[in-house]
Amino acid sequence: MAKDKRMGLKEKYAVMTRGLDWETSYQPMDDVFPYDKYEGIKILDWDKWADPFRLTMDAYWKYQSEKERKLYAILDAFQQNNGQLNISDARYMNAVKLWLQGITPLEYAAHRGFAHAGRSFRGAAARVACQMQSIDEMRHAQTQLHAFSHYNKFFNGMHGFAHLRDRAWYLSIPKSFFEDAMSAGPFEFVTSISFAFEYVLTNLLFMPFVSGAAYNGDMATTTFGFSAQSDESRHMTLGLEVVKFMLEQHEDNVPIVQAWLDKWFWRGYRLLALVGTMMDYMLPKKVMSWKEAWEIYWEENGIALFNDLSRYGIRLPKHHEVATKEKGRVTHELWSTLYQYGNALGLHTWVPEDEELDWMSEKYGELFDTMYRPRLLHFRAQEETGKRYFNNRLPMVCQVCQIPVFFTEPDDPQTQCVRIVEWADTKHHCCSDGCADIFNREPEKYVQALIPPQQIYRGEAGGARDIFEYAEWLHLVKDVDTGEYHGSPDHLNWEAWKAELPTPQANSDEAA
Amino acid sequence: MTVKYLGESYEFQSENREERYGGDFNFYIQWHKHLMFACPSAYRAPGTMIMRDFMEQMFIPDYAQHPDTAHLDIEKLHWQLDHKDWQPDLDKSFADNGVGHMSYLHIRSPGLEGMHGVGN
Repeated sequence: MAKDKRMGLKEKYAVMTRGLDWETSYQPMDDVFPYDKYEGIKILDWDKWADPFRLTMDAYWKYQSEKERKLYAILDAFQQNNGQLNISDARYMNAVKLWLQGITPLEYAAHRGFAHAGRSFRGAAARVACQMQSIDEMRHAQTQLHAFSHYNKFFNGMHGFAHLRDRAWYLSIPKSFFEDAMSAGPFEFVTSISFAFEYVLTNLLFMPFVSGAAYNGDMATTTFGFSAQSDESRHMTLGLEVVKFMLEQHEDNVPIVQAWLDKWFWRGYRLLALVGTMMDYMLPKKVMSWKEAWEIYWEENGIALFNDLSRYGIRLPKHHEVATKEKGRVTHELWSTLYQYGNALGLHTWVPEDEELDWMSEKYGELFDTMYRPRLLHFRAQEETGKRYFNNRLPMVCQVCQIPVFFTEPDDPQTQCVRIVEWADTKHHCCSDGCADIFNREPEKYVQALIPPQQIYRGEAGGARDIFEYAEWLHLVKDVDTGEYHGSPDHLNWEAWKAELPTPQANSDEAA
Repeated sequence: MTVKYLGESYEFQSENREERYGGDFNFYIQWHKHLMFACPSAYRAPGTMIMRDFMEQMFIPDYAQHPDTAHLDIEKLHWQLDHKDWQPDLDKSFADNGVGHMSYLHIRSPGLEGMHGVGN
C-alpha cells in the first residue's frame, strides 16, 4: 500500500503561507514593500509572527461556503414566512437602518483596508492573515445587504445606503473613522481596526446589535451575526497578535503603539456613542443599558486587557476616565441630538414610551430623572400640541470624530464641552480633549476634513440652503424617511399589518 | 507633532478656509444652560452684519422654541469670544467687534437658566 502523501495541517499551513514567499532579487525589498517602514515600526524578524489562527486558503473556502449555505437557507425561509412581521415593533427597524447605513459600508471599507494591509507587510504570514480578513469583510458587507434587503421591501429609509453614506452628516461619523484608518500606514491600520476596534471594543458593537436583533425577533440579522461570529474571533486574535508582535520586536515601537492606542481608543469610543444610543433608544425590547455594557466590556474586561499589556510598557489609553464619566449621559445627549436634527436623518426618532422611561430611570438613576426625563417629556408635550420640536439650525461638528458637538464637560453635565484648536492660523473645533489631542498630533491631516454643516454653508451640498433641501440632496423624502416616528408611514403600516388590514402607505420609492 | 508621510511633502490647506465663503464667514454660537439645543449653532453671515441685527433677526427666531427666549434681554448678556470674557458693541458689525471666521461665541443670560432647574 502506497504511503499517504497528504500533508498534515501544520505542514500544509507552512507551505501555503511562508512557503509561497521569497526574497526578491531583481528589485530591492524596500521598493516591493514601500509602506511598512515609514511609520517608524521596527521589525527585526518577521518569522517571529505567530499566526494564532492557522488556516489555509482551501480550508477557508470550505468553511465559509458551508456557512453561507446555511445562512442563505435561513434567509430564504425568513423571507417566505414574512419574517418582518415577527419583529418586536417597527421602531426596531431603525437599529437595522443604522446598521445598513453606518456599519455595512464599514465592512466594505474594511475589505479595502485589509486588502491594502495584505499587500503591504513583508512578512508572509501577516499578509495572508490580512488577505483572509479582507475577504471576510467583503462577505460581511454582502451578507448584510442580502439579509437586510428583505426589510427594504417593507420599511423606508433603506433605499440608498451607499448614496447616503457619502453625503449624510451623521454617517460622516463612521465614514471618517474608517477613512482616517485607511489613510494611515498599514501598522496603524491594523492597530486601529484589528486591535482597538475589533479586539478592545468589539463586544460593545456586536453584542448590542446581534443580541438586540435576537431580543427583538429579527432572525435575519441574528443569523448573519452567528454566521460572522467565527470570523470575528479570528479577527480579534489577529488584532492581539499584531500589537504583541510590534511590542516584542523593538522597544522603540512602544511609544508609537501607545500613541495609536490612545487615538483609536478615543475614536472608537466616540463612534460607539451611536451604538449605545441604538441600544438604549432604538431597541423596543432592551438587552442591557449602554452604561452596563461599558462597565462590563470596558471597565472590567478592557482595563484587564490593558493591565496585561503593561508588561510591554503600555498604559491605559488617555482619557479613558472621561469615557467612564460620560457613561450615564452620552446616549441621552445623542438621542436628543438625533431627535432635533431628525429632518435630515434616514431614521425616525421619537420620545420613548413611559415604561421605557422607567427602565432608563432604573438604569441611569438620578441624573436621568432630573435632567433627561424632563427634557424628553418636554419634547413629548410639544409634539402633543402639534409643535414637534426640530432644531432650525445646523450644529457645530467636531473636526476629528465629526460628531455634532453635543457632549458636556466631563464633570458638569449642564455645560457644553467645546475645545478650540488651531493650525496655520485657522481655528477648528473639537468635542473633547481626546479629539483635540488627536487633532494636535496630526493637524495637517484633520484640517482636510469635510464637515457637513460647513459644506452646506459653502454651497457644496447640491446648493442646499436649508435642512430640507439638504435632505433632498440626501435623497430622503420628508416625513417618510425622515422625522418623527409617530404617524410616519412605517408606523401606520406596522399598525395596519398587525391588525391584518391592507397597507395604507406606499413606501418612499413609490412616493418619490 | 506632525504627520509621518511618504513622498516629498504633506501640505494641505484647511477645507473650511474663509475664501470659500464668498465674502461671508462661518461662526458659531452657544447659549449656556439651554441644552434643549443640543449643540452650538453654526452660521454663515457677512462680516459687515451688525450684531444687534444678527441677534434680533437670526438668533432669536432660531431659538424661539425655548420658553426663555421670549424673556431674553440681549443688552444683559455675558459674552465670551473663543472662551475669553468679552463685551461686544451690539451696534457695530461682527468684523468691528473682532468676530472672524470660525469664531466661537458663548452667551450667558443671568436669570434665564433653562428649564427644569438643570439647564434644559
